[in-house]
Amino acid sequence: MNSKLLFPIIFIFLSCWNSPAVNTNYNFKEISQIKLNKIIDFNGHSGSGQIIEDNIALMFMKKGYDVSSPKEGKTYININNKNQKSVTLHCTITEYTDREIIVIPFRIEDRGSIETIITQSAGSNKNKDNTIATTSTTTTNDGGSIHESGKVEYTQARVGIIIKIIDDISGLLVWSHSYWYNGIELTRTSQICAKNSVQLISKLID
Amino acid sequence: MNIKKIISIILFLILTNNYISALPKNHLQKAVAAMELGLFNEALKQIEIAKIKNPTNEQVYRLKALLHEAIGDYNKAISEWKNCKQNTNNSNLINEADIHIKNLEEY
Repeated sequence: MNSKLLFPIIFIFLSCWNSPAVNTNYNFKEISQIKLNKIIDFNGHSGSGQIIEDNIALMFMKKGYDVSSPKEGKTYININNKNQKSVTLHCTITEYTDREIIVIPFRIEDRGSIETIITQSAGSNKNKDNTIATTSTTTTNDGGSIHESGKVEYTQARVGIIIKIIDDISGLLVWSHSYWYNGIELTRTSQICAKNSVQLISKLID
Repeated sequence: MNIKKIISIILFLILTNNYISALPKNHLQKAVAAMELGLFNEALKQIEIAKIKNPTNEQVYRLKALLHEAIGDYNKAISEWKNCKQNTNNSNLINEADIHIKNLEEY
């Protein structure tokens, strides 16, 4: 392939790598209501679905939208009353852990040392008035050594979600995105994951 | 000396030795131990010392960035994620740093 073409192709590929999939024919400005479906718990993490669901609702509230939950398991985000379209937001948790192991290899570096001993002695000659000074210098170089001494392990939290927005009337998948975030605390990581996803959705509908 | 006393002294020495050997020996281990106890500021102090001996270790910068994020010091976290990127060729780590920088810049 022509090398002149290769660079733009790689650039376009990389710049689109983590962006959401959007149905460009769909008018997101006409959405009046978003239904947030109940989120199923991640395997072995009871309550994880509810945490993500609550965080998404909280983030929509922070953005200034009206959030209502008339029935358990259904949350409605009201955008405005002028429009007619309603969509359903489906969220699947792909990762939910606070036990992801990270390894830090470390080394102890002995940088060595340079030791210089200067010995100075002064002696006077009996026959002359002159004083003879003698200086001797001894320098010892230690090159040191570098060696891998081991590793330190710690656990971190990681949360991943896939979000789909489906039009209620046509059943058309209009927007989809996957997102993950990691951090030291699981609670905060879940919150950031929800916040960043809601931010992308609000950019569409505002 | 009573044999029971000798046995108890030996047991005490073994247990003490096990306890001492389990204590963190270097600053990186101390940083992780402090982090796991939730002492993020202390962990940052230890990791700052550990960084002197590991100035090109991208994982040290990564941990430092995560700690700054946890205590809400977002500008310092951004700076450490950038340092992490500069010291690695790992594309996954670069991608991770980009995600964090993008998120933190919104605050």
